[in-house]
Amino acid sequence: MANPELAVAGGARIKRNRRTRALAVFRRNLGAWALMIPSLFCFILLVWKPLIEGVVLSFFKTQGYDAVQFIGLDNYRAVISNSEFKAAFFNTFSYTFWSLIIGFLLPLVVAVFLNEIVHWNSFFKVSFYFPTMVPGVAAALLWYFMFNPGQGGILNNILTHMHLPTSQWLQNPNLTIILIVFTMTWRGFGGTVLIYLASLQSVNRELYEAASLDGAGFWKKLTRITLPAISNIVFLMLIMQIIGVFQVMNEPLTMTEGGPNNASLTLMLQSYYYAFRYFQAGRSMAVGTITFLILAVLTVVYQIVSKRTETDE
Amino acid sequence: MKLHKRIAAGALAALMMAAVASGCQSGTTTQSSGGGSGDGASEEKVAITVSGWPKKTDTNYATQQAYLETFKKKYPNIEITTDEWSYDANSFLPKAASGQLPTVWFTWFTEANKIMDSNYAKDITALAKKYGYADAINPAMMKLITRDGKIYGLPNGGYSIGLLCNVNLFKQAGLVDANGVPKFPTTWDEVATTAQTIKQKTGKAGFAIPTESNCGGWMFMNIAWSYGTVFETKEDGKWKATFNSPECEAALKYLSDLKYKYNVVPENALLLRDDTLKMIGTDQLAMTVEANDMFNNIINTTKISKDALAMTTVPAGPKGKTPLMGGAFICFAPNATDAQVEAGIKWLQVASFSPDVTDEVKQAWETSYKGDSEKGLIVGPKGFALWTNKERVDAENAVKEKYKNVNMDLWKTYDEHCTEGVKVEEPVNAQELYKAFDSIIQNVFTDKNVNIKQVLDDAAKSFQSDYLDSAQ
Repeated sequence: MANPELAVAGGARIKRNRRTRALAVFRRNLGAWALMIPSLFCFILLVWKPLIEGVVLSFFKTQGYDAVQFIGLDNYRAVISNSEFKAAFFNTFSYTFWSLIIGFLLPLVVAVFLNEIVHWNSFFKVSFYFPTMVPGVAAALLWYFMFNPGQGGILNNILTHMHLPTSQWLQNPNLTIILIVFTMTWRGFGGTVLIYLASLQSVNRELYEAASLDGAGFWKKLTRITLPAISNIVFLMLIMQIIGVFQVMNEPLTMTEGGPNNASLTLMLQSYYYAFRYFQAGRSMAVGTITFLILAVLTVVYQIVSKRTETDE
Repeated sequence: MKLHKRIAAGALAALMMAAVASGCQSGTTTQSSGGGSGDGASEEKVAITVSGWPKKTDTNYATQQAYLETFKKKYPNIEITTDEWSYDANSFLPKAASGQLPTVWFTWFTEANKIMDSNYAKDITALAKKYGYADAINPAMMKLITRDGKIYGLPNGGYSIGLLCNVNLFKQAGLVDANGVPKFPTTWDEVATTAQTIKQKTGKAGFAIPTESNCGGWMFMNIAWSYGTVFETKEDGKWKATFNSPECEAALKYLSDLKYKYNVVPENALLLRDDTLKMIGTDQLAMTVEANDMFNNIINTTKISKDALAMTTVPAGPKGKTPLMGGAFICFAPNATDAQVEAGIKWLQVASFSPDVTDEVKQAWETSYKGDSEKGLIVGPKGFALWTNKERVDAENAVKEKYKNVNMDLWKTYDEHCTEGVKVEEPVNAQELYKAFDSIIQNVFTDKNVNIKQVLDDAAKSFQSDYLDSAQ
C-alpha cells in the first residue's frame, strides 16, 4: 500500500519540477518572446481586433461605425434578401472560375518556359514581370482605352482595320467578367511566375539528368519530375488565387463600377458600397463575414480533398 | 556571448516596442481649443482646421491665402490649419469614424441624409441663428440639412440642374444665331433633333448623361419627372415604389431612342460624371444635364475657353420643366467645441460667406471675382439664388456685373428661369434609387431590345422589398 504522505510529497515535487522546467523554457525563450511581442501586438491590433470587431459589428444596427443596437441576424437577412446580392454572389464565383481558366495555368506554363530556355532568359523575365510594375491607375487607363467600345477604342480600331466586326467589350454583360479577369491576370501573373520559377529552380537537377539517361523526353520529365516536385507550391498558389479573386473589388470598381446592370458586381464591391456609399457598416460587415465563411468552407473542402488524394497516392 | 545576444535581443525588443507604441499613438489633433463656448470678443486661443484648401497650383489659391492673411490680422487668437482634403466617398468614413474630421468641411446635398443619420455633423442651430444664416438662406435649401428642427450645416451654394452646352459644337453645326448664341432646345424632343444635327455636322456626340456612381439615376430624375414619373408615394402610411409606370417607360424609351434610333449618345455606355464633363470640355459632346456650379471646374480641368460654355434651363417633357435642386453644405466636425464652430463661422465670414454685406465681404467678392476674371474663369452668371436677403444678392450681383467677362446671352435663359419647377430629391433612399436607375439606364444603353416595362417592373419590385418595405 502506498504511503499517502509520500504520494502527496511526490506530487508536489512533480508539480515543482514542471514549474521549474516551464520557467526554464520560458527563460530560454525570453529573447524570442521579446522579439515576437511587438509583432504579435501589431498583429492583434491591426488584424485580429478589426477582424473580430467587424464580425461583431455585423450583428448590430450601426450609426456610421458605431454599434447602436444588437439586431441579431437582421443585417444578414437584409443583405441576402437584397436583389443585388444574388448577382454579386454568382458573379464572384464566375470571377473565380474564369480566373482559374485564364489565370491559373498561364503563370505555370510561362515559368516552365523560362526555366527551360537558355538564351534571353533575363529579357523574358523582365518582360513578363513588366506589367506588374505598371501602376494600377495607369493599367486601368490603358485597358480603358483598349476596351473603349466606340470606333476610337484601340481594339475596335484594330478590328475595323482587319475588317472584323467591332465589340462592345466591357459593356457586353457576357464579356465583362472575362475581360476584367484578363486584365487582372495581365497585371498580376508576373509575380506568380517568379514564385513558380524559384520553385522550379530548386528541383534537383540530378533527377533530370538521370531521367535523360533513362530516355525520358520533355513531357515525361515535366509530368514525372517537375510537376510532382512543385505540386505543393502549385496547390498553395491555387488556394491563394481563389482567396484573392474571391475578394476582387478594385478592378470592377475602377473599370465598370459593377456594371453594366450589375453584370460585374462582386461581394466585396457590394460590401464597399454598403460602407462607403451608404454608410451602413453593419451590412458591409455582414457581406464581408459571408464572404469569409464561403472562403473558409472552400479551404476546408480543399484540405479534405487534398488529404484524401495524398492518402490514395 | 550568450549574454551579449540576450542583451542585444532585449535592446532590440525594447526598441521595437517603443516604435510600436509611438506608431500606435493617435496623431496630435489641431482641433484642440480653449474649450467652452466663447463669444466673438473672447481672446481665448482657438485652433481650427479648414479643409478643401486649394493646392498651390489651383487658380483660387492666392485668393484663399489673401483671406487667410486678413483673418489672421482680425482674429489673432484663432489659429487656422489649412487642409487640402475635401469630401470624397473613400476617405470620409474613416476620417469621420476615427474622429479626425477637420473642423470645417464641405459636402454635397446628396450626402446630407446619411451624414445626419450617422451623427457625423455637429448640431449648429444656435450659432446658425446667432450669425443670421438660418434666416438668410433659401429655406428650401436650409430644410435639406435640418432634422427635427436642428441645423447640421450651412448650404453654401445651390444649383438647379440645367442643360450645359458646348458652344463650339453648336457653331460647327450652324446652330447659333447672328450673335453666336446657341439655339437652345427647350424640350426633350428638340434636344433629340438638335443632337442629330450636331452628330451629322460634327460627328460628335450630341447628348449624354452619366451612367455610373449613382449619377445616372440622379440626372435621369430631371427627365423622368418631366415625363410625369412619380417614383415614391405614401399610401396609408406605407411607401410604395411607383416608378414602373407608362410615364417612366416613356422617359426611358426616349433614352433608348437617343441611342438606337438617333445614334446621338456616346458609344461608351459606362460614363462617370467626370467623363461627361471632360467630353464637354474637350469638344467631344454638345449637351449634357448638369449643375450650374461646374463650369469653372470644367475650365480648370480641360482648359476650354470660357466663351465655349453656355447653359440653359433643363428641357421640358410632356409635364413641363422639372429641374432637380441641389448644392453644397458647410459642416462642422461632430467633436468640435462651440468655440471652434464659432471660429469656423468667423472664417467663413472673412472668406465672403456671410449673410451681411460687410466691408470684409465686399472686399472678398472683389478679390474673388476679379481674380477669376483675370484667370479666364467665367464671371457673370448669377445662378441659383442661395440668399433670400435681397440687399446681399444685389450687392454681390453688382460686383459680378463689374467683372463680367462672358456674353450673358449664353447664360440668360438659365439665370432667369432656373428656379421654375424645381424639385428636391425623392424622400426615401434616394441614393439607392439612383443606383437602381444607373443599372436600368446601363441596361437600356447596352441592349437594343430590352423590355423596358419588364425592367421597370423588376426594379420597382426589388426597390420595394429592398428599401421601401422597411422605410415605413
